[in-house]
Amino acid sequence: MSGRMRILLELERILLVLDAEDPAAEALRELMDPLWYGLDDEERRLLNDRAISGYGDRHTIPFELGADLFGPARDLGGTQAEVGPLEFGDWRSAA
Amino acid sequence: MTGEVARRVADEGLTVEIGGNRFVDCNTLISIGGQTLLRVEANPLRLSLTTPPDLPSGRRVSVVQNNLDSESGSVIVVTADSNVSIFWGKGASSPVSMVLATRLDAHRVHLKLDLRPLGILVYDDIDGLHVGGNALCGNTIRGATVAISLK
Repeated sequence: MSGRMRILLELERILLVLDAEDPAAEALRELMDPLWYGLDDEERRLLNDRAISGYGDRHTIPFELGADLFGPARDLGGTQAEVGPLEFGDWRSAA
Repeated sequence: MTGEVARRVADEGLTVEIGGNRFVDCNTLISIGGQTLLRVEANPLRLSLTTPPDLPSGRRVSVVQNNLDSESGSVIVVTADSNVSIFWGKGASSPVSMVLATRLDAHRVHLKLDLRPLGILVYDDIDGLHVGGNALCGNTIRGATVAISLK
């Protein structure tokens, strides 16, 4: 286990004790971000595959609302494919 | 099903599977700004999808326990015994699915989720449940009042 991962897990353990709305929890989450991004793919996979058993709000997975949570609404029919829609009436000929 | 059996089934809880994640006995699956966005109830299968009024996309959905609000003019809800689906694009030639819920058994519901038609970057695929730039995969979240909170 890398030092980053060990520290991340330790901070996470402290985070679970704090109320989600506690300013200290917010500061901890900020601190954890660079540690998370410093993990390698295998370490992230290990952390992603855990079982989280919780009670009440304390085990909510929080995501900060930001630009990456919102995008343009999908425009129905607004995208014109370079190749027009194909219409097959007989699968034998399509194959 | 007798009343006693029905009560026992209801008491044994519900697992909702999304993008390889399991949400066990979670009252609300996703909230946004403190307001419930997505909720699933079983026996009978019921979906609730309610967006806040100030989404950047300007689009709005209000489906509460499979019932469509009159203001959700572009939304289609299709219900069957073991499936409930919510689509965007009423009247369009090709409506797009946002939530496809299938009851696998009395305790398990599988959800296919894509809120991008609403401009919310939450969807699932073979890699997991994508929330913005994050992907959740292989997790079990148990007993959360709100499983995923967008705040």
